[in-house]
Amino acid sequence: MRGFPLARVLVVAGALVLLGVPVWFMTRGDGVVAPVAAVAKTEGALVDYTVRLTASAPARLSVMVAGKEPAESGDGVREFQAVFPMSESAPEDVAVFADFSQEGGKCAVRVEVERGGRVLKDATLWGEGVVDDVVVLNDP
Amino acid sequence: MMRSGQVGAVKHIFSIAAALALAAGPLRAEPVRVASLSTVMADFARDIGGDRVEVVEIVEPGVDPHAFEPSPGDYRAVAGARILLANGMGFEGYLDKMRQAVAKDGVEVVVAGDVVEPIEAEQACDAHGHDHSHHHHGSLDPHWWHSIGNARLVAAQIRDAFVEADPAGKAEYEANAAKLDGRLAGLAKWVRKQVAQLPKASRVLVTSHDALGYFAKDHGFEVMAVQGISTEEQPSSRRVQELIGEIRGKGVKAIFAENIENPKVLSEITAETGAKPGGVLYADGLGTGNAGTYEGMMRSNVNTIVGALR
Repeated sequence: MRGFPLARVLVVAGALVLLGVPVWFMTRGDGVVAPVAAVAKTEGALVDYTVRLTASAPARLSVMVAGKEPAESGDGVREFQAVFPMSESAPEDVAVFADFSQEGGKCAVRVEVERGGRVLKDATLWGEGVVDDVVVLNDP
Repeated sequence: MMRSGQVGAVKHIFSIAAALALAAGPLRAEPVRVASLSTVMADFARDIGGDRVEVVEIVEPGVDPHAFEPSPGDYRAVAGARILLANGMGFEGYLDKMRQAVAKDGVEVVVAGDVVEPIEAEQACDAHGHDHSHHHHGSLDPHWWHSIGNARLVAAQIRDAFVEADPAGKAEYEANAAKLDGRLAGLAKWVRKQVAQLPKASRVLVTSHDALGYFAKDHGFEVMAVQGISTEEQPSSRRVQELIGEIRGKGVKAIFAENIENPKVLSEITAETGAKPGGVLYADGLGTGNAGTYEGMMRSNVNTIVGALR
């Protein structure tokens, strides 16, 4: 090819194109977009979960679940319950708050979470003044 | 024979010396020298050891521990210590070499990996097909401190090591460790309350590298990391494209950068997916300022995550 610069350019360009094809195949995105249904972990049928609180002394009680309106009792109650529709397969965490500020000493609040008449969680939280914590419902 | 005047002078000198000694307080032994390869363990060591220990941080906050290689001076500092604190589980690729190098100096090596409940680092190592030639990790995820339960176990481990090295300080170490444990229990509750604000559907962490597996396990998050468990390799363009597809498919709201990372790739992914930058997370240890303590680092991370994904 000596003496033919144009031919040399063409040969080099051809070689580059040939090299580029496998590189393009190796590095291109698959363009696969995960379907929205992939979020099935968090969707699924909604069922009612009943959260029942029983306090050791008169208190103001409330229950919070992500993405829902909090449910609150009035002052000075010993029992309170609220119902939240949540995913059957991946229920949200349940945040509980009990204000015993009118009481002295240790206080407790029992938290029971039921679904379809079956108790999924039964926990007792202890503290002084304000008792608050989160009850985690394991994925059934 | 001394005369009565000389005897009186000697008595006088002794009484002054005794008074000075009393004024100076009880004599305290040299502090226990502790070298740390972990910023988190160094923080616990300072809390538990108080004035009885002197902590030398070999790996300092803000340094990428995946890329860290100890200098000869670091080896000398470790050799001069009584105790060496390390994460283990492959986090410090040089640990075995260092352990051998300082064995003759009688340094006790306290490895967090011996007491924590480890999780596998499957996603990072197997699914993405990374080149492992420069990784300093095994098959376990070494970022144990993102689980506060693990942090409490390691704090107890450090307390026990201090008591063994310095039995005279037992009561002090135990009291300090109990205070720390109480604070960690409070921190765990605070984290639970913060995370409870996030619906399960929102609990997806897109991060630079796969360091938040323990946090994810404790609080029901899914981790989608650009890199594997080490910060050292860049992701392939195929991996980036896959991730973009997954992020779009799951409707992920925010993508998080790390304090010691180059966020270039994350910026590209953010631009491609329309997710917002979620802020900076402290993934590989403590940071500076408010994130300069374990509690501060955890609060900063949780505030960033919950604020961005809520």
